[in-house]
Amino acid sequence: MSDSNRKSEDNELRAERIARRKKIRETRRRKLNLRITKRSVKMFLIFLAIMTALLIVVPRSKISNIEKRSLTEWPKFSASSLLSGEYTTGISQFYDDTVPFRDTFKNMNSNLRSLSGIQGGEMAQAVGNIKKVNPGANAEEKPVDTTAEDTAEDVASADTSAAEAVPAATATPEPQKDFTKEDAEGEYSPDNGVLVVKENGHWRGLEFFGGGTGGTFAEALNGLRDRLDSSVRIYVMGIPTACEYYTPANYLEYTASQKESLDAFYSKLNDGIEVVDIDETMKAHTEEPIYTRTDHHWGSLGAYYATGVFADIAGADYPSLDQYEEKTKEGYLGSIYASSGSALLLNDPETFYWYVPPVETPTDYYDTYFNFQYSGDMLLEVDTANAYMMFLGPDDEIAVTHSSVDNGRKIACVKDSFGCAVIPFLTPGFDEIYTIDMRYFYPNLATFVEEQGITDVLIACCTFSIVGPNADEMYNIVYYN
Amino acid sequence: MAFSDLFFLFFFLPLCLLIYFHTGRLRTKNTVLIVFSLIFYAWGKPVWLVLLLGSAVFNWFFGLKIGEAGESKLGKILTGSAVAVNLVMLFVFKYAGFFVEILNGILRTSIPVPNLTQPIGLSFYTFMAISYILDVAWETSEPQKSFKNFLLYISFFPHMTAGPIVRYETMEKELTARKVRNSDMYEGIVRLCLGLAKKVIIADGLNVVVTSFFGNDISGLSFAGTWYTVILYSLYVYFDFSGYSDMAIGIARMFGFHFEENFNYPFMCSSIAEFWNRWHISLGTFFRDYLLYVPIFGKRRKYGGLFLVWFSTGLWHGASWNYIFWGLYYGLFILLEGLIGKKRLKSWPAWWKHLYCILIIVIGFGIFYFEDLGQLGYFLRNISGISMVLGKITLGDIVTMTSLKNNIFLILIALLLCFPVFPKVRAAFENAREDKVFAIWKQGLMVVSIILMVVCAIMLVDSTSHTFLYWQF
Repeated sequence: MSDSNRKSEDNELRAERIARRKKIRETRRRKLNLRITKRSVKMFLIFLAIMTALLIVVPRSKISNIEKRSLTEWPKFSASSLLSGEYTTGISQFYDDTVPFRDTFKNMNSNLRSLSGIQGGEMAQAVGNIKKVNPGANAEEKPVDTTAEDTAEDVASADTSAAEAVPAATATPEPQKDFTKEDAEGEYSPDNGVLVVKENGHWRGLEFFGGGTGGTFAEALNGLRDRLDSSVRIYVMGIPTACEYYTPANYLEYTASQKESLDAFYSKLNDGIEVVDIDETMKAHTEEPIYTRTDHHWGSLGAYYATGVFADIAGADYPSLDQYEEKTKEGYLGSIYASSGSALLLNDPETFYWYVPPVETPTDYYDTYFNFQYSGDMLLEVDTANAYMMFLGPDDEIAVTHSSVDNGRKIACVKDSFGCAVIPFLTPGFDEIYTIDMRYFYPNLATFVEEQGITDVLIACCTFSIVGPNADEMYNIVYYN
Repeated sequence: MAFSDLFFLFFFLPLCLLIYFHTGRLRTKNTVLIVFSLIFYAWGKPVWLVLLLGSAVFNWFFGLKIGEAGESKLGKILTGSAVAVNLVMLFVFKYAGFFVEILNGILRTSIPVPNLTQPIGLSFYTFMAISYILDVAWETSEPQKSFKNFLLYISFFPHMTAGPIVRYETMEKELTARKVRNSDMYEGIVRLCLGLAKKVIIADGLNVVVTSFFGNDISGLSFAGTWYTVILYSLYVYFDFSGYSDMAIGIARMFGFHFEENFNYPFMCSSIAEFWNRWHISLGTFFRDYLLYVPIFGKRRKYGGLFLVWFSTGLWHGASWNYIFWGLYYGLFILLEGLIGKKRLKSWPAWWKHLYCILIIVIGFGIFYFEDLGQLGYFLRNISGISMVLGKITLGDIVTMTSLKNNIFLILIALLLCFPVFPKVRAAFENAREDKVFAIWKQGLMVVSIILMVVCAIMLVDSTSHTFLYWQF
C-alpha cells in the first residue's frame, strides 16, 4: 500500500475514532443531564411540597409584636363578599399575613435587605421619604380668633390652692451635648422617612418634622379656656420629638425646628393657659436616655424631667427620681424599627426604662364614653415588645388613677401617646389623675371636667399632634361631642 | 392573586401541579388548567369573569365564522366588527373617563366622567383576542373549533393578567399535543425562581428607593437626586416586568407550553429601534404586525403608521397624557433614526450609540413615571439642569448620597444583570468538557434557584402582596 493511501486510511480511522468518542461523550452527557435534571426536579418538588405543608399545618401567627398589631383574620363569608372578591382576597391576605413565626422572618428580611449596600460601622442609614423642609414651614398661619370671656386679670386672681401669677421658671439647667451641631452619615429607609444615625455608640432612628404652628390646636385650647371656670387651671406641654435634639448637623435642613413651631403655637394661646416649655430641660439631658432609640416615643426619664417643669409651675409635689423604683426591660425594639425594618436597629436593641411611683396607683378603666369597664393598676404587665404600652395600656380607654395622695387636687391629662409616660409622675402631686386620649374621648371635655370636679387640666402631647390631624380631634372634644 | 405572593407560590401553584400531573388525558389536563385559570382570574374580583368569558365566547364564535367566510366581503365585515367590539370594550373600561375629560376640556361641557374600574388583564387578553381574529382572517391560523381550547388560550393563568401577549400560533399546537419533559420542568422551575428573584429582590428593593424620592413633590429634589432616582426607576421597570415575564414563561413551561421571549437585554441596544425589538417584544410585534401598515394614511402611510403605532403604544400603557407623550417621544426618535439611516447609525462609535440610547431611555422612563403633568414638568426641569441653573435645586444632597451608599450593592447587581452575563456563564458551564463541571453547574443551578425562592419567600413575609407595575394595563 502506498504512503498516501496509508495516510488517508489513517486519517479516516482517526476521524472515525474521534466521531465515535464524540458520540460516546455526547451520550454520556445526555444521560448525565437526564439524571441530574430528574434529581433536580424531584428536589424542587419535594421542597415545594414541604414548604406548602408547613405553611398549611404549622399554627399561624395571630399578632405581630414588632408591628404591634393583630394580624389579618380569616374573612367572613357572605354572598356579597364572595362576589365582590373581598372573601377570596381576604383568604390570600390571611395566608400571607399570618405566616408562622412572622416576626422572626420580618427580622430576617431586615438583615437580608441590609445587604443591599454600605450600612453600619460609622455609616448611618436613611429610611423613607426624607425631604428638605420648606423654609417657611413654621410661618404664621391665618390668625386665630382669640376673643376670651375671662379677662387676663380674672385668670390671674383665680383662687386655686396653688394659684399665683404664673410662677417664675426655675433656673435654666446647663445643656448637655448638642448632637445637632455634629455631622453624621445616615442610613436612609425609603418608606417612612426615617434616618438612622449613630450616637454615643448606638443607633437611633429619627422621624423628621415637617413644621407647622398649630392654629387649630390653639383654637381648641382657647375654646376650652372660655368654657371652663377660671378656677380650673389649664396647662399645655408641647413635647418635641427626638429629631429636635439628635438630628446631625448635615441633616438639619430635612427637619423643621420644633422649638420654633411650639413658640409660634404658644404665642396663639390666650391668657389663662399656662405654657410648660420643656425645651431647655430636654437639652440639659441629651446624653441620658430621655428618648427611646428604636421607637417614636420619648422615654420615661424624659417624661420625668419634663413633668418636673410642669410640677414646678403647678405647685405640685414632685419627688426626686431616686424615690422611684427604676425598672428595665432589655432588648426593646419599637415602632421605628417596625416601620423602617432597619437592620442597624434590629441588631442594636435598646434598654427600656420606667419608674414605679412611690405612691399607690389603683386605676379604674372606662370606655370612650366613660362607662366603667374594670379596675386594675396604672402600670401594666406587658412583654418587652410592647413595653411602652405599660403606661395604662391602649389609648382607647379612659383611666382614673386614685393615688394615695390626699390633697383634693384632681388633674385631667389630655394627651396623645406621648402623654402616657407623664402619668406616673403626676401621681405624687394629685389625688386623682384622669387620663384622656384626645383621639378616643366622646364626652364634651369642658362638661366632663366640670362634672368630675377636676381642678387642673394638662394637655400633654408631641409637636406632631399639635400641628397634625390630632388637632382636629382636640378641637372636636372641646367644641362638639 | 399575584405570582410574587406566598398564597400563589405555596398553595395555588403546588395544588395546580399536583392535580394536573395526576390526571391522565390531555383533555382533562386542559380542563384542570382552565378551572385553575378562571379561579386565578376571579380571585380578585369574580364579576370580571363575566367579561372574560363573554369575550372568549364572542371571539371564538366570530373566529369560526370568519374562518368559514374566508376572504369574502362578509369575512371582512365580520373581522372589522370583531376587532371593533374588542376595541370598544377596551375603550369603555380603560379610556372612557380620559376621553370624556378631554371632551369636557375642549368643548367646555360638564359631561359626567365615568369612573369604571378596569378589569385586570383587559389590555392583554383583548390584544390576544384581536391577534387571533386577524390571524384567522389573514389565514395565518386555522380557527379553533374547540371552545375549551380557545378558552384555555385566552385565560391561561401564566399570561392572563400581565402578559406576555401570546400569539395564538404559539399555543395552537400545544393546546392539543404537548408533553412535559424533565427538561421542561427543570427549565420552567429555574426560570420561575430567577424571575421571582428579579421581581422580589431587585425590583422591589429598587422601588422602595424610587418611591422615597419620586413619591412626593419633586420640585426641590436635587439634580443628582433626580438622575439617581430615574435611573433606578428604569432598572425597576425592567426587572419588575422582565421578572414577571420570566415567571410567566417558566410556569407555562412547567405545564408544557413554550412561550416566546418578551425581553432580550434591552439596555444593550445601540438604537431606539433596537430597544423596541428587545423590550416588551410581544407588544412591539403586535403593533408592528397588526397596526403599522393600516392603510388609512394614504401616501403618508409610513409616517402615519409610525404615528399610529407610537401613539397607540403610549396610550396602551395608560389613559393619561404622559403615556401618550412617552409613546410619541419614542416615535420621534424612531423617525429620526429612520431619517439618519441605518448605515450612518452603524458608523457611529459604539460608546456614543449606547450612551445616546441610555439617555433617551432613562429620560423616557421619567416621562412614563409622572402622570401628574406638573410633577413631570419639575422632572424635566430638574434633569435638564434648568432648575439648578435657576437656583431652585442643588447639584447634590446628602440623602441621595446616603441612599446610594445604602443600596450600592443592589444597584451594581442590577446593572450587571442588564448584560447577558447569565446566558454566557450558563453556556460556558453547560458546554464544559468535564462532566464534573457540567454536573456541578446543573445541580448547583437548581440549588441556587431553591435558595433564591426561600430568600424571596422571607422577603415576601414583610408585605402582603406586590402588584406588578404592568398589572394596571
